[in-house]
Amino acid sequence: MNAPAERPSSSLIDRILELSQQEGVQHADVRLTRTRHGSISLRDTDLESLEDSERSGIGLRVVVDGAWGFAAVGGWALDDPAGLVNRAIELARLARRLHTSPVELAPEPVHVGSWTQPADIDPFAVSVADRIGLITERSTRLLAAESVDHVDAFVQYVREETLYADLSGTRTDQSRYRIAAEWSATAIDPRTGSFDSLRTIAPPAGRGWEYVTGDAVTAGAARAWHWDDELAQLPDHLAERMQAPSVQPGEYSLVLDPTNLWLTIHESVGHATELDRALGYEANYAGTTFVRPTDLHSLEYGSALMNVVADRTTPYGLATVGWDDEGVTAQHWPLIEHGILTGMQTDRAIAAEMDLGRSNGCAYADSAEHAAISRMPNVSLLAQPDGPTTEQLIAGVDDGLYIVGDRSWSIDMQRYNFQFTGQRFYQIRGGRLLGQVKDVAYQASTPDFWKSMIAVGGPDTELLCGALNCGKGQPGQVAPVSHSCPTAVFENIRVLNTAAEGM
Amino acid sequence: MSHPQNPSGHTLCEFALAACPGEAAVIVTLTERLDLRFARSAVTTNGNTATWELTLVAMPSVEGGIGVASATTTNLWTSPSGSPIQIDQASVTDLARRAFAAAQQSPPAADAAALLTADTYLSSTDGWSDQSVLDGETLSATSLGPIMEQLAEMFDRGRHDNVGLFGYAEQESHTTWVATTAGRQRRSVQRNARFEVTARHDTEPRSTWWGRSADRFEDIDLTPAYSELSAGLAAQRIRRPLAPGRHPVLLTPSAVGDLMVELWWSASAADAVDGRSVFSSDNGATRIGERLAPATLSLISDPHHPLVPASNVLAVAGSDPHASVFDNGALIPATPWIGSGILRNLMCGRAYAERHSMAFTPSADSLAMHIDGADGGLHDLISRTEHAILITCLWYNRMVDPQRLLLTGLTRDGVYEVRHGQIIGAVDNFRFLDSPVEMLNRITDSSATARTLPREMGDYAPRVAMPALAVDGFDLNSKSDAM
Repeated sequence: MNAPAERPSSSLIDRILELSQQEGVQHADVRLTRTRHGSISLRDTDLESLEDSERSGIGLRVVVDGAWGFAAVGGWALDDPAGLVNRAIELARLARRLHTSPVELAPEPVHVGSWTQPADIDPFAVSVADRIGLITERSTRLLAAESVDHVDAFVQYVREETLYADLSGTRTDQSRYRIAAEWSATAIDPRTGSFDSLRTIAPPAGRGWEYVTGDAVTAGAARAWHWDDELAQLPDHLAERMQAPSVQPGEYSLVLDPTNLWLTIHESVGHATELDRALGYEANYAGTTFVRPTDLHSLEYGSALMNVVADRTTPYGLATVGWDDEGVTAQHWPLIEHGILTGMQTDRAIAAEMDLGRSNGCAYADSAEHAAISRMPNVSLLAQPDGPTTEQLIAGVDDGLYIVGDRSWSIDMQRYNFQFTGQRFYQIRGGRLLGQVKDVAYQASTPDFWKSMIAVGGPDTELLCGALNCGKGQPGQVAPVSHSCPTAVFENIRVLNTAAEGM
Repeated sequence: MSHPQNPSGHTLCEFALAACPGEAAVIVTLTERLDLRFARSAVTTNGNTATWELTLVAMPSVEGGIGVASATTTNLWTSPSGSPIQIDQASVTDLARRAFAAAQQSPPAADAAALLTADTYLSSTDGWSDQSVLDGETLSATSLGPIMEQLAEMFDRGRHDNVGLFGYAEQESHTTWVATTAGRQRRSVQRNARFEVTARHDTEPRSTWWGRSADRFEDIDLTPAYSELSAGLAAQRIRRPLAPGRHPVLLTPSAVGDLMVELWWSASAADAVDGRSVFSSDNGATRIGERLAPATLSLISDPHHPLVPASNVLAVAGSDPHASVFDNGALIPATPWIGSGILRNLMCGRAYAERHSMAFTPSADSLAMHIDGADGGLHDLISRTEHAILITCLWYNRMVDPQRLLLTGLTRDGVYEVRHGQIIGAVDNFRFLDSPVEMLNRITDSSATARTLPREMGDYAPRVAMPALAVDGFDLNSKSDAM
């Protein structure tokens, strides 16, 4: 339905790189990006907004005398490439004055190629009426339930295209899709005025519209979602929650469903193993990490059951690419093996600074207007190959909580103290699931938490979850990332009753 | 860089309107940014960018009402070889076609209202057809010259003191043109600049933060930054024990700003009327009229606020519970959310306001708290405090319970014990759990209001002015090992 603007010819990219070279740069890379973002939101059954934006741009990053310079322009009409080059070089020369150790980039072979993460159904090719129709039908169904007073729906879908070229001759052309859909149901108790809500827990995925219709193919932990089942159960879950007793605060064994555990992995492992944070590059904003660069191969991160991998090749993963935004091939590598830290995340400058050889390919920029920084690959906790089912894990717990879905999350600037809540909390007594309780938050310090992991589920319990909205950097950038994990059990975790706090 | 100076934003707006086959609103924005990052007392990354963006909100008649769809593009200009840069007519025409095709397939909008027409507020000085802010004001590396000199001096002092400096400087300008097919035409310029720095001792676990925001770099006085950072680090040489629990605290304007932005963004009239907000009362009523704070306190969004001026033109690309696309081009008035301690208004669009007999309250991108009779700065507040925990920054603040607007988050980069009017040492970082609404009733003292940079929300709410507050019984729930 749209006639996309013509992408600038490769002669423009050549021209920008040539002009940069004439200025004596050590390195120059150009990124041409186009990101189409669509979203539909409904409030109850009314369409609230229907948006379709296509943002494109050209970004140039140079290294001059060991200092970075970056300039960018929105859109693809660049009548004056020399102006863009001059701006980037001017900034690099200015930065050079207050630069102590020169930037070097870890070597990478030259790559020329293209890569696509295909979608079975391009969401933008589905008629608007059909898109709105599907969402409205589901909202209407939910709102008809007796326990539901209000329904909110939000669906968003993205097509991201990146053309990368640098002076070494690398030229990569990539495109990928991602999608997320969420329905939230709210109940209001007319007697007390108290309200509560539950939402669907379907993870976002590197897929097309087929994911929302329920027709996606399952590939390992990247599962098709059964929307009708989930929407059918949501009103009953909500009704139960409205009647649920408030949790007794104290220490519990927690059985964390993948729909909850992924976010705890994201915050307490994913961000904590970013080498740029360990070196202080994020100290003013996102923060640092308790992990020191010297901790590799010695830090006891968690129990011996803990095996975590970083992977930019995970099928349908949100951080999956062919090459990163510095032209480095997508890789996968261990971060934690049998509880010991064995890997971290790098881009080319950080790999060179730490003498690590090749970068493991974590560079990403959320648009042409931002320079690439080190961003999280898909970071996943491995299942135990012959591990138990979720029911078996619950059966092994005497006094605990089974937590499903994520909600509130917060962690300190060094990735120690965290607090998470969830969508549903089930009491476990003597290995059996009782009903829901409410007002639950769990708190722990990262190393204590991962050392308390006493059981890990098998491949049947695994699910690829993730987020579209991971924030980092100044200026702020947003990145999508996936995390696969099994159900797992943690003992002696502090549980708060949030209704009793802050009063 | 290749910015078309002529044609400019208003011609783009007018071309887009002419391409519309029905009613529509059009928003054109030019955003320019210059930024510089540093870490370990050395400049790291930087950037200089400029982006034109056009959003077209199509509002055709559909069965039962008005259908709505928004479409946005950044491909607005073209430069056929040899000719000067000009409007990319094909791209803009396609955008209009795409937005109308989508809107015609959408159900009637619940927030439909007649588009705003040409009005008498316009004067020849409002600048509809002015060139963008680029004229004579282009952001380039040279704008960073004075900051580089001061940074060099700070880096030197840090090296002498075994202190590393980490931070960020940014200047942005947004020029926005808003027009409707009914004749409304408005243009506005909004700027924001910030400078922030974290100081960390090289070998000891001590860190502190200094941040300011203003309209322009030159309005930020960096002179006191290093000595204030240095004083904080010096005070942290003495460690004081503190058990988790409810404590009296002093919150800096930055920390107050982070909490009040959460309150502001939760002030949706529709959520309150629905019964699903901290501002809901019984049976579809809201808490408007209820006392939430001391009678001396007001919380206001005012585009003409002297400390935090903002655009007075409403530009909405997509409707949400706070604002409606049908109100594009509306003049934004000053709106008190809390006045004399009483909840006065909640945010909503025109159609909603009319249906629920409420005030139409578009919010300026600006928030200020004032407390009558408050004077002096943070240091005056400290000097008259008998005992409290002083919190420099709050971080990673997230909603735990919307019913109470209960938030959790952490202290960061400087938590001190104050006794008998003096800072006597530092305490650990803590996780807090508290509600900015409930907290208003526990305010015991305050400073005068100053423009501030909320540590966490500064990216999204760059125009905030707050007092420092003394608050009783702030829930410092658990210790954090973060240093």
